[in-house]
Amino acid sequence: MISKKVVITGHFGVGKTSLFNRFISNTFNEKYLTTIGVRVDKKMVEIDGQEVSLVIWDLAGEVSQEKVPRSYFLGASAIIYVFDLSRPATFSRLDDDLQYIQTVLPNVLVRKVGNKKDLVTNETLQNIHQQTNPHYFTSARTGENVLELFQNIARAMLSPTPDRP
Amino acid sequence: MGTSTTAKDQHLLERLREALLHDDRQELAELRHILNTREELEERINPIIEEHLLELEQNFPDTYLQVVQKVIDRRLQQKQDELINIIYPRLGIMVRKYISDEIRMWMERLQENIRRTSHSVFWWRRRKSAAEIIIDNSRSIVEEVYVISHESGLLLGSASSVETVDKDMIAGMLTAIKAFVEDAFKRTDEELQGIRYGAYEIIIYNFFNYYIAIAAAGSISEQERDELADKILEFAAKELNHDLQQPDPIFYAKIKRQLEAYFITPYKISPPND
Repeated sequence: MISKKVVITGHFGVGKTSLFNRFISNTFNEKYLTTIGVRVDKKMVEIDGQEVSLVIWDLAGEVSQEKVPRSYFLGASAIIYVFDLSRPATFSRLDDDLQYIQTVLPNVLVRKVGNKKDLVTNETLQNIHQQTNPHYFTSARTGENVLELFQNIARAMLSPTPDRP
Repeated sequence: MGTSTTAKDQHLLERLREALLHDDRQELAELRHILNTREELEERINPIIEEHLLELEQNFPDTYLQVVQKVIDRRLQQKQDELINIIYPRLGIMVRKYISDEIRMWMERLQENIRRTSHSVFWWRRRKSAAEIIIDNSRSIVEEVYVISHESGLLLGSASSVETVDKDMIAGMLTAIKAFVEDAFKRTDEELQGIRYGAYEIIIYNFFNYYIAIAAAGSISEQERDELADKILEFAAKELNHDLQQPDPIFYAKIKRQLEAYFITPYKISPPND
């Protein structure tokens, strides 16, 4: 079985831990508890009969990715950059943050994810889509697109010519 | 008529040919004999081959050194990590050996001095050395061993004598804690070497692109710690001396067996003899 490290990162309060919990244990907690440092857990995903163990690092939120300890990113096969669809400030630094991540991990698989889809209107979604061109709009609360996101990552990592951003 | 003339001519021609080519034909026959007889051929060719071999041996460095050097350089560049993984533990063994020899000599000098001056001291009456008195006799055992990738925190191998939570999670969290401590204190050349909690201790041995973490129960004496470090270095030198970037399932199974053999099944850190 293959093990891959996946890092969830982004601004604080965007729902990284909620996505993490939704994927790992299919749970959601309305209370906001800030993540201290990092949390690590894993989940098995099966893609076309092949099992992939996703070891997921849920990092504490930071205003800028440059403030995240560089070593947390090292060895990662994929990065999930999460922003909050209801707080534009959380995707205002998206390009800079992604550029920084690319300098730390050139050619790493990156997935831009707009979370809290359940809190915004379709019109807002369309506007944000134009601005950020995300890979997924998710809702950790309802579970929408969460499993799809991780399965997409596992599939891309198994692909001989991985889909890179 | 014409035919008999031609036959006569042919006969004459053959005689002429025989007269002219006799020597050549004899030489040819000799050459055939040499070529078809192994001993004859060896007798003539072996000196030439030996001469060429000698020449090659004498001139090899000049002619082929650059080519060989290039091949070696390319191989070293391709397999840098593998090479460092081989060298790293061996350097550790050498350094440890040097330090332990120095400490042993220092201890011997110290004990000699104590023996000369303190005949009436209690521990001497009990015929115990100073070192033995200092060392705690309580037993300690290795409960879990992990081999973990430095960068990704992915588990490369593990063995355990107790049931634990998910080992991949432990490997990841341990790496995160390690990275946090090393980053937070900005000691770029220093690495976390252990975590102590109550009667348990996690001892970390850092190598080039992986580290080995040992969870031990009970207090560990310096002597035990030394023995454990020797064992770890020996294990790393023998079992982890190749590319660990993309281990396969066979590797995982093998490394688990080896870890158990080295540290779990028979390994119980012996207390010093009382």
